[in-house]
Amino acid sequence: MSRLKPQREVLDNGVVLLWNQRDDTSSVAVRGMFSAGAAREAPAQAGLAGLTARLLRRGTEQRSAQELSAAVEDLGASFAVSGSTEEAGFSAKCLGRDLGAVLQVLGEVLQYPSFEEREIEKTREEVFTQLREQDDSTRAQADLKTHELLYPAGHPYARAVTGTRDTIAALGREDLRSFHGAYYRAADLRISVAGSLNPEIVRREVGAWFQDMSPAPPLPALEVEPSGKAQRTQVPMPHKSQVDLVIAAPGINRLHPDFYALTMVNLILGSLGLMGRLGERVREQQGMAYYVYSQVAARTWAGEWMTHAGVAPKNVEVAIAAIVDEVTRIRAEQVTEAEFADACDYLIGSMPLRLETNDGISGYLLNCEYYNLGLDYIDRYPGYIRKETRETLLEAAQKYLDPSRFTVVTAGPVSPS
Amino acid sequence: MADVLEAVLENGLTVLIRESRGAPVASCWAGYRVGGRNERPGITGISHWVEHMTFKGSAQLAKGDIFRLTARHGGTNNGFTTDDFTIYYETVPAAQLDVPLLIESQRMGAALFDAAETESERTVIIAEREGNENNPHFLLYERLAATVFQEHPYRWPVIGTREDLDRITRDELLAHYRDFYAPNNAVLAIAGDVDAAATLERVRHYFEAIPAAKTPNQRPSGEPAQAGERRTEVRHPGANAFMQVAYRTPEVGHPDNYPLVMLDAILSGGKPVTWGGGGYMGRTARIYRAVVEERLAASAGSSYRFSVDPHTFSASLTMREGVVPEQAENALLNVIEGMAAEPPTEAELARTLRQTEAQISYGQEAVTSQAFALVYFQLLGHWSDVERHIQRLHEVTAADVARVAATYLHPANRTVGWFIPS
Repeated sequence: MSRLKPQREVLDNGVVLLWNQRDDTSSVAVRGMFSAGAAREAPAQAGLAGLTARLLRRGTEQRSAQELSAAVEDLGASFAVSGSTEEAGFSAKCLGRDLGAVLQVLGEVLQYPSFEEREIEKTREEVFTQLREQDDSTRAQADLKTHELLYPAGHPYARAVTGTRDTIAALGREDLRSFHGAYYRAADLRISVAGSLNPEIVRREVGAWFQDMSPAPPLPALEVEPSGKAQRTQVPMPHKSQVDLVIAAPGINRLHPDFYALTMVNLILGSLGLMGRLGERVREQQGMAYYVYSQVAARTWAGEWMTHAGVAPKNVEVAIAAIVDEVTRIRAEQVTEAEFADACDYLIGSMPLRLETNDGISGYLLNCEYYNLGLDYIDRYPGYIRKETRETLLEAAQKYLDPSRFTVVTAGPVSPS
Repeated sequence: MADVLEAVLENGLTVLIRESRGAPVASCWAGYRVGGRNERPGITGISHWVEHMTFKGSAQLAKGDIFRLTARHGGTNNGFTTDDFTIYYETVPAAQLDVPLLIESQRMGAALFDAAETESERTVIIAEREGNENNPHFLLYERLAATVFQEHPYRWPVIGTREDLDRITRDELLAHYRDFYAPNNAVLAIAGDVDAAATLERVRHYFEAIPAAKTPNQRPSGEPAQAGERRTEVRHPGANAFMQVAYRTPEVGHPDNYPLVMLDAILSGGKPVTWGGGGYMGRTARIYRAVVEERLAASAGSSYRFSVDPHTFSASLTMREGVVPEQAENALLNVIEGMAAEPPTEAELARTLRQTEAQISYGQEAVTSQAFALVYFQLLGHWSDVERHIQRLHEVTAADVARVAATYLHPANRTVGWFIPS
């Protein structure tokens, strides 16, 4: 089904290189990741991984931040580095003819950041601004509180990648230097390039990165069972107009055998079409929300199922009741044959759309590598979907979507009692 | 963007088809010349509400079918309303192109406007507005637009005022739909892995029978000249202080359009020309260097888009701690208004051209953005303007940029808005 011709090789320096060459485009997308996310930081240093990643583009031993930006932007290219919970990731986009030059800048940024004090202060202030925005966002507050309740204190899934004002304020240059030195390693680097590219140039550039080939220390065991306790809390934000509501339950990790069944039953419940059955009930019939949808976050060490809705304060209880009612219904009886067929067709049919752009392809290849899915995953994928049945979807709903184990969080104006 | 088949059906529908064989996908867009500019007090938000209603059932499609049919084939779809236009799309596997053609033909000629559905959508849209109100940037922009424009309907938010959302009737929605959803007021654009001639035949099959209508030749009242700086502020609980500034600029088709595009890119980097593109390229541009690198603001940027009636060139910044707002404001205004005295250098012009060329190239990767470019530029004037975009920027000189800066970017033509957390 696929027009992809993905390639994988391990370079002499240990870097895993994935690439997919296309002749019908003039541009190219690059993505990569190190095992250098927030999972590597101590809770007392929350935000260290993110701050380190942000600072990489803020100057190297050879060039200032402005010079680095100029070297890329003068070509009509762009690049970014950011920290997430599990990984530190980077991306770049440029015309194929400029790939070598852009990879040179990326290599310099990833290997030789200077972490100058002035740049650290400037970046720290930017994080403070972001933290204040996070504090004022109903959505961010509802999500943060949900993760705090689902995961044990200290686990990276329980906290925000941005850290807190106190932890960010306490981080210094040596913290950043030693984090970078320990975890930005060739042996830990996976990079994916898609579009108009010459594989020789990519091999030459990326193969020269990182002379020290010793691997980073292993990650501690982070497998975790999210809380299945029924719990509810609210984050009062009286100056807001609308409540962000989150209903969450423990889910599964990405490689769990129930992944496809849970994905499909969730699709029918709260995603397919205009937000699935939840959209039909809460938006279309009740007219109570502009958005109400559910999603499965299946990550490396654990996962959760979450529903999000934006509702007026006076409608919070009715919305919760309607969502719980739909969940109860989908775990009481099998989805219809038509719903099942629609979910299968959507998942299989949407693959070509997701792989239309170079960004989409490079992201897909990196995801295959990260979760060890194999580069022929796209060809096997329809088989995984077709193996599921209405019965397996019902089993997944009964196993994972249990209202007696729901965490409920609201952030926004307090509901009139 | 070579090889666009352009046709006008007898009912006045403009059809644009581009063969693009990169992936087995096709994207279909329908755009209507109706938006916030066609509204007035009492019915603000009505175009956006009509957009919602066109998903809620038609002669041949039940409520929900548009999403269901698109998803069933793995596709994506949506609709959105702006000050000037209402635009819809579906992107599907190329073999399923009849699905969007059916959907868009039903939307154009046969939406139902069921009374009960109208009422249930009222509260959905109020919920959408309340979600927007949670965002301080929406609160300030709503106030800023109402300060920049005293007469022109651009002063109203596209989503509508709360008062009008409470009162608009089903009959008004239906009348608005009948006024503006006509083939002769629309553009249909398709890009993808399709045969253009065969696709045109499918388009005829679905659309030819929809009758043309006499659309209101509505020209919103002009906006009186601005005689001096205007200021406004919103005091509301919030996180960070931020500022927006708008300078009034002319409508699409005016000779100053492209010098203003160039000016915007010199100030904050080359932007995507269509739907999607490359990343942010503004770190070497003037605003970032003068305001963010100098630690006067946490972020800052500018924006200029073509509009049917005269609109604005705008810029914004978000404060960082420990800086006096006036200091940040002065830095931003100085760099913008300083362009007249300090025209772009050759290097700046060359960088901007390379950035814009690259952005156009990135926009070519997906048929969704290719078809969007066709429909959007056709609504604004002619689809081929997207082809000539780079050429027109090449023709812009440093003196042109300085001239438009002197013409528009001066204190008497600006409106400054501040959001102050209280």
